[in-house]
Amino acid sequence: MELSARLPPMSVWADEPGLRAYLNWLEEKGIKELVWTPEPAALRLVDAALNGRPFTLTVVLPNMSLYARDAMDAGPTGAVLKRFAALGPVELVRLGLRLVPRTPALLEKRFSAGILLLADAEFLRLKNLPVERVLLHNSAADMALALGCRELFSEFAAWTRARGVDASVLSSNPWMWDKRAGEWGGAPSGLALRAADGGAGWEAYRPVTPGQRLADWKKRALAA
Amino acid sequence: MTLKVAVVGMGKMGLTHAAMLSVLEPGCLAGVVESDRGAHGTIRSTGLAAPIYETVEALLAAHTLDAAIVCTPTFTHLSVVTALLEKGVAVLVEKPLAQDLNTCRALAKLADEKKSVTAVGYSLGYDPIFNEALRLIPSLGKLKTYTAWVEHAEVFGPKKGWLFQKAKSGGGVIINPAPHMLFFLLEAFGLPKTVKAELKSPYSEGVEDEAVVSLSHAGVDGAMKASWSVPNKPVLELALYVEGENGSLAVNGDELLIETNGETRAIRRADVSTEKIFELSPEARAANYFREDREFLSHVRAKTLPRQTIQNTIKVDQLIDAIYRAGASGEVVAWS
Repeated sequence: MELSARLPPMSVWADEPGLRAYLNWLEEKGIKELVWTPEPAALRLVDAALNGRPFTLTVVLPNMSLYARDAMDAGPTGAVLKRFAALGPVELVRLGLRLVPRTPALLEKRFSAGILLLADAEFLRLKNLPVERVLLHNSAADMALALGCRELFSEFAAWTRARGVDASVLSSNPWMWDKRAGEWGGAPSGLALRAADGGAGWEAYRPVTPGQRLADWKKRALAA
Repeated sequence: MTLKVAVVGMGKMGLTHAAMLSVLEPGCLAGVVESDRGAHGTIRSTGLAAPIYETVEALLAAHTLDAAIVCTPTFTHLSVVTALLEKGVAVLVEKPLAQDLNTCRALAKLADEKKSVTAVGYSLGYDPIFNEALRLIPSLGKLKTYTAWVEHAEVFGPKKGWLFQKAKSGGGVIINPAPHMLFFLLEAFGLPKTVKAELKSPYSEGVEDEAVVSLSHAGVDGAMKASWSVPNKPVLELALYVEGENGSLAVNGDELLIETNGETRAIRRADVSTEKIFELSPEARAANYFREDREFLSHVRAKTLPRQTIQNTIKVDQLIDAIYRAGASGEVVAWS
């Protein structure tokens, strides 16, 4: 297995110099695979920063944290429409064609159809990035594992096959994955599991020492 | 014997609790309530096998329940929780308990009369890294000051919905995300003697978006800055900095930093959370809901009272009320 590291949310690395410094460090460490949950605000920066670097990109879809935030703002339907609005005309047509086979499930507002609709809308915005693998987001996967929704995994496996990318499932609960695999007579749809390890990569990198971080909190407290 | 538990309100929080219950005690979910009939198909397609009802009355007519978790909008808590307690059902209600202090007191009185097993969902009480901070704060010696932050990127313009109508939600950032931190401050520093607050609404009409709260406790003064209009905070961030005579400490969702005798240590979440838990969303610290539900079910089974009963946590509702009174009057409000 090639060495892998997570690219944390933009709020962690903050700006382009912060991102480039982290990517330089990963390169020095011999990291080959970057795992990232795409954020619209960071697409351009990540695209530019990855140019010419030796990483392969594995994306985690859909961005469930972003969806939860948008849904609070605009409701579940509004959150989906926001993703449509971000697509160009060509991507919209492409998305429309991809949705045709899933129309009945979408009309029924099925959980798995909704998750994959979000994944599709986000995936189409990544056309300039060197995406090789897609991981099903751990919040969606773990919800399905908890409630016993096998359908999401079989639909996701079909979804990735149709888009020509490798697929795995991200989960914070490998023990639950094993339990369901036992009940379902094997891993769902032959998918492999990746453990969601949170900040692996960044945790080791952290450019600021604990003493400096505590001093920063003190400064913030004084300013408050 | 398997407990019979229901979830009332199947939005994001209801679905989260339903998932936790399915893992904690498979088969315990006797039914769920969702008033929006249009959402029933989606709920069913998640794999949830329990029957879905449109009202709590229909649920109670169909089942004899041991417990229920209430995740409906705040303004419905009085009627929903009352209906459940009247039937002898143990209740875990999501925070805030109600939209005003009088309603909270009415629910506390009913819980007392019925001798009910109740709990209020202050999930920070189950957070390992904040609990470690609670344990370590005394090692700082005589406390000098503290500052707490509640920050979220959520409101940057006028918004619609019950959450932004004071009569239904009770208010804005103070009564919605901030009670988690208010609960923690009361646990760490005790009841305040006085409260002062400045509330601002740059975006919302009728509810506050930002607050600066000054709290004077016996022996330590502190402040809390709360805002749901902070850019680049995609997930609610709770943080605290405490200074004492022997050192200082800072804690947020990721880590705890403590300096004593000139040496600074970093304690990460993974260092203090080694038990087998179900984590639905590490970013949102959803494992705290798992711990909360696990403890609630154990008390329901033992018929004992959890730490965070309605009666034990009404001090948070009193503090919220004091903050709103201080904010409205511009005066320092004495704790009563």
